[in-house]
Amino acid sequence: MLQAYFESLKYVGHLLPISFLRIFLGYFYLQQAFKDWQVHVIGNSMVSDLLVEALNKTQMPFWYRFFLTEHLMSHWPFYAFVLVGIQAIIGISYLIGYVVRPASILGLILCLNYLAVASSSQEFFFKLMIASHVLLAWVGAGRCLGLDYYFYKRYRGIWW
Amino acid sequence: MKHFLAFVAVVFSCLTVFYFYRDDGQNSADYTSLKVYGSGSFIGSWGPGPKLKEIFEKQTGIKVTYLEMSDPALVFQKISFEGAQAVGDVILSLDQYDLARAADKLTWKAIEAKTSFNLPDTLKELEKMEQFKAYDWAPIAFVARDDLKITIEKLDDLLNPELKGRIALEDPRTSSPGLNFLAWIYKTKSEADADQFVKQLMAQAHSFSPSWSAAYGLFKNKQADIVLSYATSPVYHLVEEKDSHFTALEFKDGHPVQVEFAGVPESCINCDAGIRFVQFLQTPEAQKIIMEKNYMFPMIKAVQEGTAFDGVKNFKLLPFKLEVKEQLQKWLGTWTELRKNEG
Repeated sequence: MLQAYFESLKYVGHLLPISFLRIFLGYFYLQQAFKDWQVHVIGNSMVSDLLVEALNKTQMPFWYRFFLTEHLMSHWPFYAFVLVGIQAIIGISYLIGYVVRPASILGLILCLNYLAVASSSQEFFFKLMIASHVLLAWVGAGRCLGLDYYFYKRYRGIWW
Repeated sequence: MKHFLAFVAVVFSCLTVFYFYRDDGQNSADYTSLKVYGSGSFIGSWGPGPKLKEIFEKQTGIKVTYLEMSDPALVFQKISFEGAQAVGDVILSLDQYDLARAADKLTWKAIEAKTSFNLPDTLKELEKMEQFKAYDWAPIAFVARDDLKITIEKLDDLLNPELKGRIALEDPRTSSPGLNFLAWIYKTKSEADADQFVKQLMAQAHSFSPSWSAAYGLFKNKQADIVLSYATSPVYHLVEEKDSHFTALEFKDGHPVQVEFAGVPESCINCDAGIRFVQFLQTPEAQKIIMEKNYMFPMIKAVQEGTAFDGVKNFKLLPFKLEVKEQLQKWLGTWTELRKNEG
């Protein structure tokens, strides 16, 4: 597996710049997961700043606002745990280049949610993140400097 | 896909194990530590926060943890949502507009004052406040380099054609000094005159920056000749840069003041320690640190004796009073409308 990891540089080396982007995003998501774990899961913080900001947003579909106020806020510890889990999945996946395509789709869904709740000043950041997830999923960024190359050689298919 | 599902299961299993085997001490209410919300400029390494924390911890044995806040209104809302499980014991870096606009979202502990001040008569109101304790203040003023050839002694002088595009101002919707300036205009002029003045000022300003630091940056880079700031700003240049070429412009009709407050919300866990921390901020020792780091006047006049703050001219001050929320919203609404038309 380790051999395949470095062998990928020889055969799909043109993806290397995108792999750097993937690894950076992996580091970013892991760091975010660790921070949110400290604050929201074991730190007893009941709601995130982003959520408080979201409730002040006027342009939001009614059903989504209902979901935020009636479900997400009242079950915040559970959702915070799931959120940290998703961030950890994306972070680890991007760092080691394993199951990058499905992880990118997860990242895309997460960012679409953030986009719905974010203030206008943060919207651009989340749009950029969405574009990055789409790019990583499109090129299969785990195939260069990632474990996906090893599995792709053996199993093929669209998920690697 | 099987790989992905297995991967998800492994990650969540690990997190579940971590969750159940975490240190339980963090999960229960901690009565030996204090959680203090403050702005980045207060709790950052360059602000007074770290030094105050060190002294307070040494004096009381209570551990202080700072939590950074960007917008007090959001923190109020957050604490209100969190209810009994809220983590903040003290909230710092509140200005008079935060109090006017959002403080009613929470209930606050009354704090007994342990220190008596010798404040100017126009600020006596501050001593009467029971729930919020002021820890520094400064008059709002325009700051210029001393080679400025134009005389500016009143608000109307800002409309001098020679200053066109040379005034760095702050957006009142996002900046507290900006809002203070807007209130200054409306409180010293009739409504029609104020509207007219704001309209003319739109064309006169270099820009309306989202924050004080952005506006001051324009001034420092010489893109603007004057900037809306504090009467104490030249002291910063004098002390930190040994540059005495900056001056705060005195307006004969008086200056409004910017005041920073601390408060203890009712939802506090370690309330007594929170109150002690706020009282500590008003002691001469803490006041000196706050003055030297924030470059604002201390509440205790004696603290500034023998320092560079002694050289700051005593400006005539407009009486301090908390504005009414609806009034502020009305002024901001008018400003936004005029700005939109200008754009």
